[in-house]
Amino acid sequence: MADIIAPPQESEFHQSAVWLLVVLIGAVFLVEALVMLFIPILPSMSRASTAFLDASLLSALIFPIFYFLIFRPLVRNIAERRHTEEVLRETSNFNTLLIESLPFGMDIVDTEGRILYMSRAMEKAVGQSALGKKCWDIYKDDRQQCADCLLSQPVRVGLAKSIESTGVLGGRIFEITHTGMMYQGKPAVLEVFYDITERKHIEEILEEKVAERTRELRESQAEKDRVMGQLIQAEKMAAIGTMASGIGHEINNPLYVIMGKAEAIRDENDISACNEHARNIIKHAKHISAIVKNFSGYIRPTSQHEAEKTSINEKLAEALNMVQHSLLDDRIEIRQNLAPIQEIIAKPEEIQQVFFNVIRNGIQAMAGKGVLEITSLNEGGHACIRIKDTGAGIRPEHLGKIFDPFFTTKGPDEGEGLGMYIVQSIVNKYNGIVTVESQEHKGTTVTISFPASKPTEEG
Amino acid sequence: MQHKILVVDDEAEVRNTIKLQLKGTDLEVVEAADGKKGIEKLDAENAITVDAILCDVRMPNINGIEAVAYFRREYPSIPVIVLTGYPDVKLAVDFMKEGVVEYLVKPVEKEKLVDVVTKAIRERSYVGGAGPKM
Repeated sequence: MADIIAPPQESEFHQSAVWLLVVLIGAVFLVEALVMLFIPILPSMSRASTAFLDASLLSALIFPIFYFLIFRPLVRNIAERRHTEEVLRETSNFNTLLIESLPFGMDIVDTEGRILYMSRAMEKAVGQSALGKKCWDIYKDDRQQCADCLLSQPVRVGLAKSIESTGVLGGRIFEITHTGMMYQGKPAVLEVFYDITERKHIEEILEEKVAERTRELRESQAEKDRVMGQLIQAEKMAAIGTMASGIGHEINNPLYVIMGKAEAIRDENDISACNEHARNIIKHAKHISAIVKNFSGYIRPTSQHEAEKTSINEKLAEALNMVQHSLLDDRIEIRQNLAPIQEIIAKPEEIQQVFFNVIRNGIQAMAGKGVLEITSLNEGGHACIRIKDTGAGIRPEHLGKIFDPFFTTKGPDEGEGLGMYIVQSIVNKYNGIVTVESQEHKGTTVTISFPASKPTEEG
Repeated sequence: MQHKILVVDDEAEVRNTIKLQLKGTDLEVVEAADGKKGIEKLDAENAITVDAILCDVRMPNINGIEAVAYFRREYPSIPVIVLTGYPDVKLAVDFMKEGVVEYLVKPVEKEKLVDVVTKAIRERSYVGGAGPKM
């Protein structure tokens, strides 16, 4: 940047003026004192001489007044104006230098789009001086005004807006910032052109890569979900296999009652007795229907369901009901302590599967005798479910492996070792946690906690 | 001739159905709500004399497996018929090894039930008298 010319210092003016005044007043007093001293010895002065002397002394006094009130301010004004002009010239030079050295193009157009000024970079990009021509005729490949051109709106001084324009200067993409201004006393618009072609190209490549990666992740997740769905289904079918006789018992008992009542109706003449039998038949048919519905919902692949508000206590009861079907006797005491806990957003059958697997493990661990305690409660914003059995417990060296797929301590007919693996996979899927505490020969406690579902907009 | 049948089943509806199916025959039903009560009925000092036992499998307190084992051990002359909802071949084989006359899976028709029970009582009468253990 060029040196800035320093303005004259104000103190210099004041100092010189004081000195001049002191000198002049001293000179006047000296002359007057000499005249007064020499009047007695001088021959009488002529009237003309006295008048000349007074005029001289008066001039000596008036001169500084004139000098300081008129001449000096005038001189100072001129100096200041020269200084201001110099500063302005330097600033203008600096601004011009700055604008011309900017790496992007600039122009100024009037409200009709006619170019009033072009920066050197702009001229270089265009390859010609285009003053007076419409900007879109010069810059746009199709010579059409941009659809969202800000010139179509009234110019507001100081207001800046940007548009992205494609097909500019040979197929390139520019971000054009329009700023309302006054130029040569008229409303105009400063256009600043940023070439963003490369940036857009890189962005497109990045977007493609992100989209491709997202697609890959989705496919990978879909494959994972599919395999997990198959595992869950296989586990379900295996469980159903082990429960087949239990299910048969649950259905055959009411079916037997139905058959007996139907036979009675066949052989009965008393219409009121027949009505009573018919009512019993209906009751037991409904019971069978409920059992079948319960199991058919369980057997259906979870992929056919959508996540929805799911009652944990309801799924606990259903899972318990299904496991109980497989019990040969009722010497396993079931204690339930279910608090009204929050619902979670999940596939209901998956949650049922979690509880089914854990309850079944607990009951199998008790070998026909013991206490199964099922507790549900809200704890620290989580829905907690605790399933505690008084069974054989898990040996310490096995505790770290129970979530491993195909790890089992059961016999060959009692499972494939996928139960707890599936439990953990499903619980983790819903951001839950499953922990297992166990003491050999005393029992096992499985604790599952799900985070509270975020309330929906509907509440 | 009237015969007494001990029906051991924890479901009242099932016991009622058995009674209904045996109604009009010479088979009289004595009920017990589980294995324990069934054993008590036979073990009591003034024990009843039954000609056959119809026993369920899944029951509280003492289940069918234990109860049948007891009946067979303590009252070997009383024919035991298992009437259950469990269509389980292994269970059936185990019971047959235990010496039960028949393993019937519910639902069973009236005629079949009457036939099996009557046949069991008849065949038992060929080998020895009914009644408490000797």
